[in-house]
Amino acid sequence: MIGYVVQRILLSLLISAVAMVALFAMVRMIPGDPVTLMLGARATPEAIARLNAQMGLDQPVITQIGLWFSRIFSGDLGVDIWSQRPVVDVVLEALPPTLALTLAGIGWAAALGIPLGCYSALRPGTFTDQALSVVSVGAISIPPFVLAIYCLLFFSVRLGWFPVLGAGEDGDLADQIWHLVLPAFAVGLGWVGYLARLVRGSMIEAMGENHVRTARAMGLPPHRIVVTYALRLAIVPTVTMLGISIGGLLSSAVLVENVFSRPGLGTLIADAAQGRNYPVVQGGVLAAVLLFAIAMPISDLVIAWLDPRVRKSL
Amino acid sequence: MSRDVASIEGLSVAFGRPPTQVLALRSVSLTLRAGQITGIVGESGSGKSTLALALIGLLPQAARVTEGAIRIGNQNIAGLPEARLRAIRGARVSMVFQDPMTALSPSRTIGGHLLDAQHRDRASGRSALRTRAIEVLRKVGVPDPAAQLDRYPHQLSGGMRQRVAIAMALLGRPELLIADEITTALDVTLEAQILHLLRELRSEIDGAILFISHNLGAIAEICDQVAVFYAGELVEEGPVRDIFHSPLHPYTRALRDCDPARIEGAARHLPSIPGETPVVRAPPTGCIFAPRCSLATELCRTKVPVWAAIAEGRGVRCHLAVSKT
Ligand SMILES: Nc1ncnc2c1ncn2[C@@H]1O[C@H](COP(=O)(O)OP(=O)(O)OP(=O)(O)O)[C@@H](O)[C@H]1O
Ligand code: SF4
Ligand SMILES: [Mg+2]
Repeated sequence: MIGYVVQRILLSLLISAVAMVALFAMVRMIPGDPVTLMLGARATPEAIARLNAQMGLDQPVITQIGLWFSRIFSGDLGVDIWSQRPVVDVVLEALPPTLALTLAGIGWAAALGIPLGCYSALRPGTFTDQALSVVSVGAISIPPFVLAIYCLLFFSVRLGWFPVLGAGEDGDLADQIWHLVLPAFAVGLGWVGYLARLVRGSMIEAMGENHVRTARAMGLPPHRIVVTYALRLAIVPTVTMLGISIGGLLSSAVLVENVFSRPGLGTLIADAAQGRNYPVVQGGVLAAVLLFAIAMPISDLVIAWLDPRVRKSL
Repeated sequence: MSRDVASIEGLSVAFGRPPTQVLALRSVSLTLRAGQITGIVGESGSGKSTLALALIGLLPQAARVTEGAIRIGNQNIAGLPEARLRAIRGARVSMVFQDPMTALSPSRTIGGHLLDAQHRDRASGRSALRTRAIEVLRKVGVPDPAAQLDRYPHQLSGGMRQRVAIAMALLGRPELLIADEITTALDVTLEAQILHLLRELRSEIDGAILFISHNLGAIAEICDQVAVFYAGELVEEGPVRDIFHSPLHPYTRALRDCDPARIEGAARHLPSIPGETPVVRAPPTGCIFAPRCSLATELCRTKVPVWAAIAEGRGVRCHLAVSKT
């Protein structure tokens, strides 16, 4: 098991390292001279030279890669071309709203998907179960940004239940949460179906387990049996799935951010890419990759918490 | 004679629908009395677990009670709705299952299980429940009981887990304790310890114990009364002495004459009787044991033998045995 954990951490590190090299290569693979592209055709030679030096583009490639890694590890991702602020600061500012949106999206998906899955599992094969499975597949196939637009039009513009755009007042937590509800719903809904299907399958299996029979033989009420004895283990595959799918969740969040004009990694990367602000693009993508890389070890920890047999062997 | 705790009266249970149905129990009558251990013995598939589940109101969805009554005290629980059955389980009737390795939830501590087993006594407060859990753990022979409460099932041996399961069953103060092959998965030493424990509990709980086993040796050791099942029928019942010293049914006799060493270790199928237990899908037209019975006559193949009560708690289902007595 120790071996397994080390393996997972090494995998995370490998993913991160590959991403760093890829990001390094990205700027070099853009046709034409990146500096000229960034600064525009009419930049002065001094400005071009300064930016070249700033980005280390005047060095040999190997040196550049070495430099790039050593800078990343010392927390230096370069400087935002527009604001001249350190990219690290810019990215760290954009991270919390995206994280909040992703987690709230998972929250919605779990809050709807887990009960639906349980409900189906307790009456497999009935009309309700089959109807729910059709709805689940339907929910899976709606692209999140389309859903975001419809949510926005209907709940915010038409009904006025939720704010239309933005992330809410700084420092006003209630307002921020209020602004989060609808975009998170748009991120999460597509996952409700996946979760419901997955939970249904593992719940049906769990309800047939011997320890659930023991719980029934004690005369425990059904909700206690489902939650304490069946669901706790039945949820493990779902946590694994969420850990693996964090990339997909992040990209839904990034798309939805744009629809709702929320600040965040998505908006940051999109704006920077459009403006050829490559250090910020690099920093933003790197942050997303790191999130992706730590999601799996985190889901492993959650599983160890859910299932003590795994904990023992950690 | 002591108080009747539970009784089965002419019970028939079927799984599924014709033509693929299984008639798992057919016209079974049995009475369980306070202060007694009743043993049930029979080959795999003879309906022992089905009977146990019927008594605790846990028959699977596929099961149908086609006739008869299941009485706990004076109440017939056959066909009661789920909510009413739940009130019986873990309170008037408790059950310990075969496999101690899977019978407890891997994500719940021993203490959690023992608290849940007392869920009807929640009003007395956590610390009182905890004290009682420790007390019962000690009674079933778990060493250092307080320390076990925070442990998880996988940290305990099979024998300890089975003791915990027995403790859980006792915490509901049941009138009827069902033990369905609880020693089958244990080695011989542990089995002897658990049998000894059951024997102690017999006088301690104010109720009946139903002990299901493949192991005739175990049955002989701890039971007062024995019921022999074959292919869904009760073929013979009697006090343990009579069953072993003067069996009436050819099947009981064959069972007894098997080399005990070969029965031990949970023989799924008894080697000294040629043939196998049939799966009964339609009402039989003769004695269900006839194909394997060395004494079978024409009568046996054409007429179903009826249950003949010879004395209180003594009876047999066999043409030949009845004509002899
Ligand atoms: N859920 C079920 N669905 C269909 N048939 C079942 C079900 N449970 C039991 N049966 C059938 O009912 C019959 C009696 O089974 P039961 O489990 O009561 O036997 P048993 O005497 O306890 O056997 P064992 O010694 O193997 O535990 C068997 O033929 C079995 O196949
Ligand atoms: S009724 Fe006949 S076949 Fe059946 S057990 Fe008795 S003697 Fe054997
Ligand atoms: Mg059984």
